[in-house]
Parts: sequence; structure tokens; C-alpha cells
Amino acid sequence: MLLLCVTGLPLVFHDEIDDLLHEQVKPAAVPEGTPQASIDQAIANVLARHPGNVVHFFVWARNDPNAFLLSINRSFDVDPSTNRFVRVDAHTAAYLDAPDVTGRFTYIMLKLHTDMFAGLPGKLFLGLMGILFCIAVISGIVVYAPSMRKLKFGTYRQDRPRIVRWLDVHNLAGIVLVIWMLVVGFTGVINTWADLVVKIWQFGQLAEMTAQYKDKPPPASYTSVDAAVEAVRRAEPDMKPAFVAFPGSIFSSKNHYAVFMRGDSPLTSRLLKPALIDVETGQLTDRRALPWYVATLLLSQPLHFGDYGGMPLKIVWTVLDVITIAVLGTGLYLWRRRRRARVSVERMIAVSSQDPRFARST
Amino acid sequence: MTSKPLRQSLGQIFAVPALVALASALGLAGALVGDGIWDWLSSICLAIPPVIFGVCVVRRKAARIGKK
Repeated sequence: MLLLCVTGLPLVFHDEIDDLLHEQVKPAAVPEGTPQASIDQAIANVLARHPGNVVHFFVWARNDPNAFLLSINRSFDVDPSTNRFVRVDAHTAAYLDAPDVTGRFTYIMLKLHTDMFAGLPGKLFLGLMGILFCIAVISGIVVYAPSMRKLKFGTYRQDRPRIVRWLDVHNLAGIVLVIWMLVVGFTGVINTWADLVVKIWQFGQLAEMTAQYKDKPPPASYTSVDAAVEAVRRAEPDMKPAFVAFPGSIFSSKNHYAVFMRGDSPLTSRLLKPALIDVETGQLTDRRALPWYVATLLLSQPLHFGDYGGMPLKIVWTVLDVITIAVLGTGLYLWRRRRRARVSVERMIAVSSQDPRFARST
Repeated sequence: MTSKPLRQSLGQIFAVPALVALASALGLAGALVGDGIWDWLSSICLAIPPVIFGVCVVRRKAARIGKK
């Protein structure tokens, strides 16, 4: 858990850290209201620079309206987590860069934080740790009551030995942070199930939506992606496109462009609604809101990352994380002291207040 | 320390923590439903727990230095 808290700390500011540490090609400055470039043109420009590659996803970057992100790879048979991101100017369709993120500080922190470089088993292991953390927090609430019966809220016994002071820090910090720790802990656990949730959606709803295409041969021709996105925009005038999954990628069938739309309010912008476009005819064949289990995953992400309230919230998130580290540290210390002495912390406190040798030993 | 022995009920023990928990919950939800002012309200609500923690610990330290 300490590892998770420590690696999570820089991840709160990953955008800022990346900007600071890594040069990026800047998109051209354009006056406000400049129309966006053609998607087909952007794809052509990227494939000209990366011949032999295929586009898996085309993404409208949430934090940078001036750039498109394209997720590309050698073929569709590869693990999509090895895809490479390419940035394209959103107004001129000019190729910007394809940064190799795998050597970055934030990438290493992210891997340590999500799966410890051990893939799905690593994720599920950390998810289990998260569940144990939530249980520990709840058991902390339960033992808080007897421990505080004779003490006022917020008591910090500065004049007493370290074990008493640290118990007070542990109790006070633990109880005021309880909701935050439970929410961040549990939403983190949900995030570890992301791969499984996506698989369930793929074999459930997505398979249903593309059922009539199951035995069709791969498409002979491809219509324009711009036209496909435009068709979906017309069908969902109140939504914005978030990304397009290309035929053959994990979020689509062989025969569809899957255009994922998102809402325009802060809450609905986190939720996605896929619309399928037949790549041969350009017709919209189906669109459905994502099922509750994917919606839960999508809504749990901001609550875990703390990236949904601007810079002030990020700073508060950092402070809360640091105090959580203090709760874990003092908790570990109290547990080890108790194991060594084979008596309860309460008993040691009682003894220390009678025995002058224990009084303020540090 | 207090001279009279203190014995609190569950309600007394959890009164302040419950209020802090409510503020944190509002803070967590606030920034999710709105932007702008909501983001600030959220940050302020979520800043309450660390501020209480800091005040309680620092106040005792200051009191001790004052006594010396």
C-alpha cells in the first residue's frame, strides 16, 4: 500500500510532469473557431510516416483540443497495450510526433502503480491489496470508538512517548480521511478490473450489436471516416466524439467504425455511447449506451485519479495522499511495537504512563 | 490533561468525524457534477480533513513550546 501511495503521488500531476520533462512538438496556433482538420487526411499523413502500420484508434484528446491522437501498431493481431501513440495537429492535420512514452518517469510510476510490470495478475494482486486496504480502513473505524472513549476528538498528546503520539496521529488522520481513503481505495480496486470489464462488454453488448455481421467477409471497400463521424454527430447532436475504434480493433468488429460519443456536461462527459457505422455503406447500424458495469468503471476513474476538479483539487489530492502515507506509516509502527511486546497498544500506554522510564523516551 | 474523567457515548465520539465525512463526500461528488465554482467548492470541502489534522497537531506543539 505504501508503494501505491508513493507511486500515485507523482501520477496526480502526470500531465504537468510530462510537460516539464519532455519536449513536445506544439500544434500550430490558430484563431478560435478554426474548423478541425479532416480525419481521413490525418490518418493518411500518419500512415505515410509509419508505412505498414494500421490505425487502431483515433482519439480527440480530452486535455488538448489542438491535437488528435492516433493509436497505431503493426497489425490488429498484437496486444493493443503495445500500441504507439502519434500526435497530429487538429487543425492542419500535420504530423507532430510519436513520443516513446515507455521510458518516461510517469510511465514507470504508472506501471508500478497499476500492475508492477506483471500484467493482469499484477493488476488483480494490487486489486486484492486494495480490498484489504478498504477492510483495514473499516476495521479502523470500529477500533476508533473504544480507543477514543476517554479522549476528546482531535486529541494529540504531545508530551507522551512516541507510541502514544503516533497512535493519536494515526487515529486522528485516519478518521478524518476515512471517506477519501475508502473512495480512492475502492475506485482503485474497480480500475484493476478494467480489462475484465472490457472483455465482458466485448463478448456481451458489442457481440450483440454486431451479431448480423458475424459471418460476413471482411469489407471490400472503406468509406470515409469523416463521413462516419458526421453521420453519428447528426444522430447524437448533443454529444461529442471521444474516439473512433477502427474495424479489426478490440472495440469494434471487422466491418464497423465504432464511434464512441460522450456527453457535454461534466458528469456525462465521462460516459461513452458507441455508435456503429458499416464501413462499406457508411450507414449507422446500431447505437447503445454502455451497460452499467462499464459506466461504473468510467465514473470510478476520475474519483481515483483526482483529475476532475482542476489544479486546486490536484493539490488537495496530494495533501490527502501524503497524510494517508502517514496513517500507513504510523499504523505499521504501532503494529510492529505491539507484536514485539506481545501486548496491546492500550496496555503499553497504560504502562508507559506509570513507568517514568517510558516517559518521552524520544 | 482534563481533570474530570471523560466517558463519551458513540454519538459523541463520532459526531465530528461524521461531519468531516459528510464534507468529504460532498467534495468528492461536487466536482463530478459541475465545473467552475463546483471545482472550488469541492476542493475546499476536501481540504477540511487535512486542515483539521494540521490544526490539532500544530496547536498542541505550539502549546507545548509556549509552556517552556
